[in-house]
Amino acid sequence: MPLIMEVLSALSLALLGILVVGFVYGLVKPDGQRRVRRRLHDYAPVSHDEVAVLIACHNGEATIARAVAAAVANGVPVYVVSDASTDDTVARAEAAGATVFAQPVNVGKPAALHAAYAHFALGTRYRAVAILDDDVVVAPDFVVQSRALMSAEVAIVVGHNVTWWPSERRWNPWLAARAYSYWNYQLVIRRLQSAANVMNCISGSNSLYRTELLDRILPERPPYIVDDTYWVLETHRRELGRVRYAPRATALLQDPTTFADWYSQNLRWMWGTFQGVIGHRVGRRATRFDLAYVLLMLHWLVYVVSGPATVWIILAAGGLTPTGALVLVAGHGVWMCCASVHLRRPRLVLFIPALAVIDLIYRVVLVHALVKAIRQPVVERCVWKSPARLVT
Amino acid sequence: MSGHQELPVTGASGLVLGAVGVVMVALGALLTFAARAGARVRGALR
Repeated sequence: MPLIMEVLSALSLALLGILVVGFVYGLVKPDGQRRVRRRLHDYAPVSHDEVAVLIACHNGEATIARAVAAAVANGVPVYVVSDASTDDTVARAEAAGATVFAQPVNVGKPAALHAAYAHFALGTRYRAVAILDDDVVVAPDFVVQSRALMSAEVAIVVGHNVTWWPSERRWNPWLAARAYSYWNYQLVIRRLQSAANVMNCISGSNSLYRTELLDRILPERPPYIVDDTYWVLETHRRELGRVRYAPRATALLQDPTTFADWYSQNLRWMWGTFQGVIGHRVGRRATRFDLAYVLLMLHWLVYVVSGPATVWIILAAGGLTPTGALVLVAGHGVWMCCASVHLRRPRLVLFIPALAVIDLIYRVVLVHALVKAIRQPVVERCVWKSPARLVT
Repeated sequence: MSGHQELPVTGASGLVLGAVGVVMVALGALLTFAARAGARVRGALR
């Protein structure tokens, strides 16, 4: 009881102190103090017929038709660049309603996008371009929902990711983990980052960009292994406009279904993230973006260290007791139960133990990616091998 | 070609992050409230 009283007294004192500090500040602060919010930009409004979709594709015959058809259903022109595909990509994209540019040499996604952007003169013909992946199926109102948030200050509207989780793969733990992590990440981090304009990573697979922005940040060869990391960092560093998240601009994404694909994709994403931190000198400037990013990295540090710390505590306690195991999965359990309700996927609850294990492995990915980024802070060619695709 | 990028915030660390966020927002709201009260008092004293 005395301990509770002491804690309550300390809390009351702290609250009183905060109130006094705030009150005194309000009392003595100089006049004319109201800060006028600086507008980053004053871009022109974007109408529906000023939007186009651009998709880069390399041997994507299994998915391209569905991706194009979904984009066409948005009522906007769809352009596809085939990056030296040797399969039926070109014919299927054209049949689905896209205008196709067949790039003769395999140059990788960023260079293919760059070439198609110039080839179709998208910068002069449209005010905004949605860049999609060749396996992404956007909702019929994706463009409407994205455009609704493209106000005068906004340069990039980031779409909402949903894992495509077909019933024949319903017990796949990698899809379960990704469905959950997208949900969690977008609900917490992405919404907060969007409100404060400090988003450090965007959905390169389903986002809408102003062409004034793409004219300046769509290089032929981005120096990082994740092209959209470069785009978003350049947007912040050059103050080219706000980056906003559109929770209603939904897109279904194909995610890895095996451990090898899951590991290599996450490794590439985090390698690119750390390359961006190093290359764009994140944390070296006194900006809100840098501060938010440093806080995020501190969170990653705590996250990574908590992995071995947990193992050490289990060993020190002489093994994992049933109560200990319950405590261990409790954190995941609360989140996963919320996710299963919100996503209407009751089976997610059954993946709680699997997620606890995957979450431990993810710490290895983070460390591996950091080492990789230190050893290789830039890449000559931004080219990678995508995870295996499911036919749609 | 996948180009999207996400980071899982999972389990306990996510809960801690959420709790810290809520506390920080609450403190910010409290400070703003007190500062506005101070400004109002200053206006009344003029």
